[in-house]
Amino acid sequence: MRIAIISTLEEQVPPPKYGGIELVVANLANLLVERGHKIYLLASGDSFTKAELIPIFPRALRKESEANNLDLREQLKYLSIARIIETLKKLRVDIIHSHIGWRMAPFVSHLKSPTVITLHGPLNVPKIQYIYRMFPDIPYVSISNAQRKYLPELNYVATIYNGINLSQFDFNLHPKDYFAFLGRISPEKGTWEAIVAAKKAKVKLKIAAKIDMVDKEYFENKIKPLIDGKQIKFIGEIGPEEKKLFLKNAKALLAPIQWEEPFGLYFIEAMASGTPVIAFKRGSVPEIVVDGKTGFVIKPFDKNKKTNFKDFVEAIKKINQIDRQQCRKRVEKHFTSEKMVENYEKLFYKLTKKNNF
Amino acid sequence: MKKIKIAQIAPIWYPLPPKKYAGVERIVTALTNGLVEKGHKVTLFATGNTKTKAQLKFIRKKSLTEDKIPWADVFGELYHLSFVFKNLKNYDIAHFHTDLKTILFQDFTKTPTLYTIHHPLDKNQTIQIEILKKYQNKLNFCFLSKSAKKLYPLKIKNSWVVYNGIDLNNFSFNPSPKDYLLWVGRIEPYKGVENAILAAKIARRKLFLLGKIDKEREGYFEKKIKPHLSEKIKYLGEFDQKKLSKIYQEAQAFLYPIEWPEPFGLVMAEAQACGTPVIVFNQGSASELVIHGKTGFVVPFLNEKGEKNIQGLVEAIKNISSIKREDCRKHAEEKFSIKSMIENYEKIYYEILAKN
Repeated sequence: MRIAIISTLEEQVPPPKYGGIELVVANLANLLVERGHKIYLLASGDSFTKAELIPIFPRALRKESEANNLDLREQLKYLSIARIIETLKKLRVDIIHSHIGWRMAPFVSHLKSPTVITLHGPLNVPKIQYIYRMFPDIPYVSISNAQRKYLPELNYVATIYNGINLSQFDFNLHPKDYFAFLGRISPEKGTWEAIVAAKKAKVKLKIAAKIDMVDKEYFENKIKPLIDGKQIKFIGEIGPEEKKLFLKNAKALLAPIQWEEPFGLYFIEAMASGTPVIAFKRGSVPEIVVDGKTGFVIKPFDKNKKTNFKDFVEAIKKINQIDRQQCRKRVEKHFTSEKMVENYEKLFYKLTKKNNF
Repeated sequence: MKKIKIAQIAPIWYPLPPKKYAGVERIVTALTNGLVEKGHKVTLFATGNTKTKAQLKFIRKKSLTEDKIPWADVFGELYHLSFVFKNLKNYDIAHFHTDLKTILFQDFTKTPTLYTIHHPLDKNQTIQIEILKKYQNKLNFCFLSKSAKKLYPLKIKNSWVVYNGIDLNNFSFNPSPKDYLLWVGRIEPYKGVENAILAAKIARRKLFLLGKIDKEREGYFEKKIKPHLSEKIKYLGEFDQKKLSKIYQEAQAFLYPIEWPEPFGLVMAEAQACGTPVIVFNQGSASELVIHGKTGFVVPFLNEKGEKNIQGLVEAIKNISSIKREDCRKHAEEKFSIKSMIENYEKIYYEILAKN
């Protein structure tokens, strides 16, 4: 098949550090090429891919000084739409696969080739809901079943879980003595809750995470005072090699999330390393983590804000009951890049066939 | 001439016809109804609550401001445009009054298009210019004045100028005004409302201010305008069309000391139609709309010292009795009637069709 994949332009593909969508797009494009398809990747010009790269901008938006100005950034995204449409008109592909979400939606019904949009973000944001409701008939892919809950009326054609490249994570049966928190310091990721739980359980916690500008205050006020450098350590943002070691040596990943995370890529990264996940039952968690087998899925705090850490602390204490091999096995079975690509390939065939009748 | 099938595409921020002040919406309403009356088959793409003599097509029931959609939100418009471009087959021509976002869809239709550029494009809007470049030799553009065409940052190969038309019956002539000066517009710094106040104060004249205050401009109004209000300088709020024409008719002069190159000042045409001379800074279309010394005064924006020429406005106010109000009316009748606007657009449609 001739397939055009539209990537976000914020980061290069693959991303040097943090960037879930770009990572998924990178794997998807490369593996589709390996399976013999002709892939056009519409992305920033500094991307590396086995596909034919069509640069929409010369460099990742994050690197452009103009992109610091929110207004200009929005305008640049318009320019990107104009260039994407121009490119797509020329390419004449069998199928178009967009990862840029709602910005593409108004144009989909005008494109000659069938177009599928993978929804990467949460759908419980009013603005996002308002836009997608205008275009409910586009074929959408959800990245977990839980993601659909807030916008069930869209035309979903599949749930396809994100996959990771297994070779980038070492399986390890014998972890060290710490628990891990990975990703971003923020209230919705539950950084504070992870620290409190670790303290109550009297275990070590290492925090490897980046701090966005918006979360600076949260870090200064709620997190920093709890970091003692012994029991609770903060090691900053880490790259792929460090992450590999960080995850495989952890007793478990703590994810007391406070939001409906549509898909936690870091859950499967941990599990691929043999590291179980202890997370609140929100968003995609119950679809990824098998309670009692690859970690523990804990009932979240009551809505009336009564914080009860009892169950979470207990889960930390009984972490040795989990067979680390089961974690790795679950990822091998459901969450590899290969599995993801197989699923997308199947979907593309289905959608193009439909179009021919 | 053969009657043709025309699609008129309105912006959807305000209802049509507009309840209060909204220039573009008024023009689209008048043009659409006028073309129907001339026997063309016209479809108006607007919102569901639009009143029109044409066939109405819509995907949104109410306008975006009625639904309280914030200005920064572009998706209401894109939704509208996406719908429009799905439905342009079988029209001889599609005439757009929407903004430059429309161009993102241009490649999706084979129907000839005409864009009326109601809003100027600044040379700093580099991204819009970048998008437009690809089309500058393909698209048909219509500007609201020669000045607007000249100031447009890109040279558009196929372009015309059509002045906006106003309903001359609604803005009827009054030979004997009262003693006040008038300023009408959206309350914005660049619309020259502060200049008008200053000139009126120096000339010791009564001044009425009229116009909408957008939410974002409430602070500006509080700080810069409100402190000047008095017995002599009054802010009257926003008027409907009927009350508006009465206040034009009874004004001694229309004061419009704008600080930006306005592409077409509809208010200047309306004032003159009522017989009211216009005092305006020489910006944008001012010298095309006002005949200096005959239907008002086109005052240089800066004086010899390079300062804002408030004194020039004051002199003009003092000389206002030298202008014959009949001349103002006559000028408006000749240049700014809906009839001639419609005829001009008709001509352009035929010209475009002849080329295709």
